[in-house]
Amino acid sequence: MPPAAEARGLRVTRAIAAGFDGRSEASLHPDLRTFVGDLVRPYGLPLREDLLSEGSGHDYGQMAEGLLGRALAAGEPADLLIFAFSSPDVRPGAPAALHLSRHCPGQPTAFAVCDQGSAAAFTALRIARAHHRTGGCRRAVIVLAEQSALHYEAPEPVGLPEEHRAVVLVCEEGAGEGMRVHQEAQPDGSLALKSVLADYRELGRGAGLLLAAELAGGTPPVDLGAQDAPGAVETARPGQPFTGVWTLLADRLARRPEAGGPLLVADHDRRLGRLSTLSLP
Amino acid sequence: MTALEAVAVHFPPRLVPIEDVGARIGLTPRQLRLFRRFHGLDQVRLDPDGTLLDLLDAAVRALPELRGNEHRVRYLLHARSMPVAVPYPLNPLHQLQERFGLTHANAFTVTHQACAASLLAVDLAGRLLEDDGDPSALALVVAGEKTFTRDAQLVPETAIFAEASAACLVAPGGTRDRVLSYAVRQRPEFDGRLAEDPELLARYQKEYHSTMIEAMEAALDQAGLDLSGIALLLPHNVNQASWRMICRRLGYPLDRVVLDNVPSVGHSFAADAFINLRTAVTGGMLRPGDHYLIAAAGVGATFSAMAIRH
Repeated sequence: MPPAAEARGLRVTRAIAAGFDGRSEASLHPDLRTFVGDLVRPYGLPLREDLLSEGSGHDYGQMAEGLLGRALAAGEPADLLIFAFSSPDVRPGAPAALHLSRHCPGQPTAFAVCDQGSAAAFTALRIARAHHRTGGCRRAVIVLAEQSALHYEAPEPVGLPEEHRAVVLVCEEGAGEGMRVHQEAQPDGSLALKSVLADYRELGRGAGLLLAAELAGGTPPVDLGAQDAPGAVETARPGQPFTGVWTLLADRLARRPEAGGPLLVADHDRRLGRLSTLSLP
Repeated sequence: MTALEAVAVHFPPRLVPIEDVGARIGLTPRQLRLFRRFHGLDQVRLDPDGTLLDLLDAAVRALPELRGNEHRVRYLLHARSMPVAVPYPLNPLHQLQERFGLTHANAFTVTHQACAASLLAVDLAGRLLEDDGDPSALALVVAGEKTFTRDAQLVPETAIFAEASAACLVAPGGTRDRVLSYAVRQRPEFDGRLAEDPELLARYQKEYHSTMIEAMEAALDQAGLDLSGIALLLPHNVNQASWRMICRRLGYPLDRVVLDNVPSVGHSFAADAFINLRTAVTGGMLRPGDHYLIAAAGVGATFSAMAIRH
């Protein structure tokens, strides 16, 4: 990499998270029934007629569009927008990323990543970093969303979000080293937690650790970082398998935007056996 | 510089006349005449009994260059047009990863650029590999989809989808097909229901050719090339009529556009780029050092082009 790119790294500078009540109109549109009916037919899965008839679920584009203006309140243009999701949208065939580009200052090039459970959010950040280091962007916006309605019986047990929720992460370049994303195969949840705690210790005093609920596995934060300053280690509240730890990051950045120490954000997708971490300088 | 190390394709054995598809999905005789006479469609490759995993598996099996190099694959990307392809949380991509022993790969899908997603996947793979800095690392891009619902069967007045699939090994450098540039033009104002909104469809069709040409010219500019230096144009296989129109506007000879697969394979989502590259290479249409341009468009709408040196 050129030295100039090394000298100004990309990192998450701002984050906005929000929950959403109610449902979107798309949850009652006949297109949804047609799409999910065709999707599950070869698998013999029953539709959730209750959800389809009452209208349940949210549209990812609608959820996140208003957050973009809040995250980039001064109209700072982004040149890359990456939308990441795990569970499906109520407009499952629609390109929400492109819809969001229209609502984002700079109308950035947009696309989505998925099919990786909770690791998809980290992959989006990794791609943003690679874009920056290869001259492809100076400001990137990562949009994460999950909604609670699955309009058919899931073919395998899976935790669905309790709440419709979206998070916008703004990544900007700044002096010094940028963020780092590490991802590895790790099927064992307890080994994943051990590995994350070891990485956290290596960051030294003053560092912070944000853990996804599934990764923490119910261990209270005080037991995970007993010798640390109060609040150094936080765990996301359960029930938001995709956005939980990112909501925690948004809260942390809002409380301490100029926090001195490095921060480690970690999640583990147990179904796919994938451990992901984000290190912010 | 990103390079395409190897490309393989899989054609499902069943060739279905477009009239049979039309009867199944409710196309009128007038629509079918338009597809056959004006757009140059004839048959599409379909695999009615196969799954998405079957399609992707067959494409990867057709890639002998992967054998013995599985440990070098750091990224496995599915370039997909449809954002959702199987019931949640099923994950055929991760099954593919396990099946081929790609244990070091970060596997994910790139989407929301519809049928232009394969060029996006190649660009992302190149950037990720370059950022990692390991010259021996590889990425594997796969493409191909099931025609499971109407939106995956038909682009109104434009194309009928097929189920051919492809796999492409991407390297961070090398002397094989080297990527010189990649350009994208997005027009999100065309996100909507083309089938139910004739006014939107008309506006999309009106802007389609000029935006496609804009993306192609941007890719040429970035590469420092002009169209006269392009030996071959690899289009997406939506139809022949749109490429006749684009070639007329550009002054580019139609006989240098790989349109062979439009009547015999059909529009196989994001796999078209690789399918046409394979046709060009096996058909001896490219000589070492030739420059060629891949162009693709996806509803939503995304237009992209990539200039490559063979």
